[in-house]
Amino acid sequence: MTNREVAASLRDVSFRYMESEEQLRHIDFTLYRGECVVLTGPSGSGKSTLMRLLNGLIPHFYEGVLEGEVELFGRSAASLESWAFSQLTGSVFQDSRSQFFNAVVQDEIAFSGENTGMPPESIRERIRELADEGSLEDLLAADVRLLSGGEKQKVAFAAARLTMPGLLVLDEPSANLDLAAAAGLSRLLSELKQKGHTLLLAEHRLYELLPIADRIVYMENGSISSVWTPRELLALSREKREQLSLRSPIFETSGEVQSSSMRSERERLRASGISVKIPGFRSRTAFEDVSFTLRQGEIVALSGPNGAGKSTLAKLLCGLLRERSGFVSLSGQPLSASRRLGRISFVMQDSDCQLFADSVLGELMLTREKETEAPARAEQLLRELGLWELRDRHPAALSGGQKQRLAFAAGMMGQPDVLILDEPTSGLDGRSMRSVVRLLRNLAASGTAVLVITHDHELMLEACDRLLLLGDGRLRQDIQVGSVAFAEALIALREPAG
Amino acid sequence: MEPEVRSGRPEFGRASLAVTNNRDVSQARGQRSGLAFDPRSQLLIVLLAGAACALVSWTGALALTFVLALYLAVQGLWKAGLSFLIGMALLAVAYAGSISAGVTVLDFVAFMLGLLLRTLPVVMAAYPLGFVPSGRLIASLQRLHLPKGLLVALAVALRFLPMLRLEYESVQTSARLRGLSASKLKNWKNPLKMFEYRIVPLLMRSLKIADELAASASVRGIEAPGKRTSIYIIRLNLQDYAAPIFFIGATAAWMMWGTGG
Repeated sequence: MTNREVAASLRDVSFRYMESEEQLRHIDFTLYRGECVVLTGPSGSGKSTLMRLLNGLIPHFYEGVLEGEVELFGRSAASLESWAFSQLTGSVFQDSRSQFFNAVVQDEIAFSGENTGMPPESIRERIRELADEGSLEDLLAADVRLLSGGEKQKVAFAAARLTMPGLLVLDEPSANLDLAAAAGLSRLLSELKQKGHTLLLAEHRLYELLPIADRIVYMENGSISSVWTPRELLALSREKREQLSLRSPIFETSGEVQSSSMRSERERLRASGISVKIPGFRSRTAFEDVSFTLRQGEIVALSGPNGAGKSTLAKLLCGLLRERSGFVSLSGQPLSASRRLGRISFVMQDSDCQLFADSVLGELMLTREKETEAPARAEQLLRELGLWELRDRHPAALSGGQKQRLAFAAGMMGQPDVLILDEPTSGLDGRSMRSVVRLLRNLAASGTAVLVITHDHELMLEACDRLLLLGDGRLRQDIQVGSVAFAEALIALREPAG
Repeated sequence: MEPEVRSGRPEFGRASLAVTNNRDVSQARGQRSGLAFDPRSQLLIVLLAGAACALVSWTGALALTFVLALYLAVQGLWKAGLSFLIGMALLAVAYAGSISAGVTVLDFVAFMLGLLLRTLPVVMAAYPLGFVPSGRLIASLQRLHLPKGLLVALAVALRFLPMLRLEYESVQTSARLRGLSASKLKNWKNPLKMFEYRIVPLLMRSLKIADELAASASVRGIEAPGKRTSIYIIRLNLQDYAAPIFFIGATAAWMMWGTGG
């Protein structure tokens, strides 16, 4: 461990944002060259804030009070202009939708070079190299919006590396990826590490990173409270992990399956031989001949590679899209799409797009002003979800987790027979993930059938009874969680696509 | 074309080699073929079309549509050119009908149709600009010595608008699920509320996305002083001079000898 070159160091660094509660307290941290360090810990513990110190977003973009010394490759960060950081640190963010500045892949990769006045010929040379390494040649002229999640991630990495920065900071790069793309990400990171890049990641999903990570730094309330080697992390007991709000550090494919106690044979929803075309300019068949049932009190996972038609299926069930053939019935009664609308609740991924009212309570009372028992039901739901104290707040003033629970609550107000959720645990820490599990269990216990679109195998293992696997335009498997077939299916989902 | 890029160098990716030279995205991907224009010349055509539509009569605007359809066709956009032509023809028939009917009620309709007849050619002229990658557009406009702040704002707007559309669709979907659908008549009892339910979520999302986009641009040196470079080779070719000259010539000819004058 001696004589290692320092890539970045923080000495007694504290930071407080102007507008937000989150902060850093007296951080001492050294990152060595060629090292891969994973920051983990509960949401709001300061992981992103720490990374922002190293890519210049603090102090150049986010304002606040900064104390202590930040050094980057031997230079004091305080003396660096915002563009100077782009030569030293490459950044990859969680949401590729909002980190891409250009519509075309090669423009996106070239962006930092063009901004800083790199000669065009050198930029082209670099793009050539990066495209070669990442097998992106065929994508260079493509529209970034049409790429898969894994491809977007590769492009984001290439864009971050154009100026050959020594350090890469990656903020939850795998949060929106399916299992195969997350495994691909870990291969990419491993190659970068072998090339000598210094890597700093913030991540909740640890199992793909353990083979690469040198250290795992655990943050809590703005301080570093533990530092582990991968072995030490693996040695933590399950209780300890849950107490620290950590997710599973290994890719478990089986576990204690707690099937919902309230399950009955009463059918809530049946899909029979349904097929659907995606409407619009380039209409194509999303899937054909899909049949399954959801029973009362059951929690069923819906998974499959990105683009397999999971969201389309959910929209169809809710009545947002019409089936071309087959039928959907609720509690034994076949219903057309327009009749289904409103009978099935669908909680989508972006809570921001789903909250309409000007207060938390108002959100639940929306369109139900005339129902006499609605206020009592709203109060009960808000109390169960720990939002009652916040009932007069504006939804926009809530934290991400609170918004998500409010969207849940709004979906439950109509007492739907079936509730569908889209990726309720992506980007959540262990504790929040487990509270989603409890929430789903309670819903199921009250008799609702729950369908969860998810890539999260931990959620499947802890909450779900069955797994429906979509792929290649059909329902490929309908299997019990915890069975051998389930384990095999998970392993197959993690294999590279194609 | 640029022989120094093509010869002897490793492949830059089959498609993109063409893009850096003088083509837009769909041309480079082989989805269409045709002449490529510099964005500056394309922008000039838009301005010229705007001026011409203000100067000539509605029959003149109709005649200009044929010139613009030709302009789209040489860029490989003949299908779009044909659609615009048909649209203009239908508009013209409706307009001619409504003014000759002599009914006062139709005056307003005729006025609106007349306005459309004069705006559609401008939309048509601007259509090819939608295919230009933003990197190329900015590099080309930089040659006009426009301030960098303006160019960056333009780039952000270009990136932001399509995203806004997607976000709006997502808000719409969730509004339908919550029984706030705009197609339900009873929801329009309070139109102001309906408006609020669309705008507020969209605003919240936009703020977040704008913030993230700006952060992403900041870490990639958007604020760097000095001249931006570009991977695109920007130059004016023969067609970039020929197209505006032809357009001006055609307009002048119509105004001098055209029937509707």
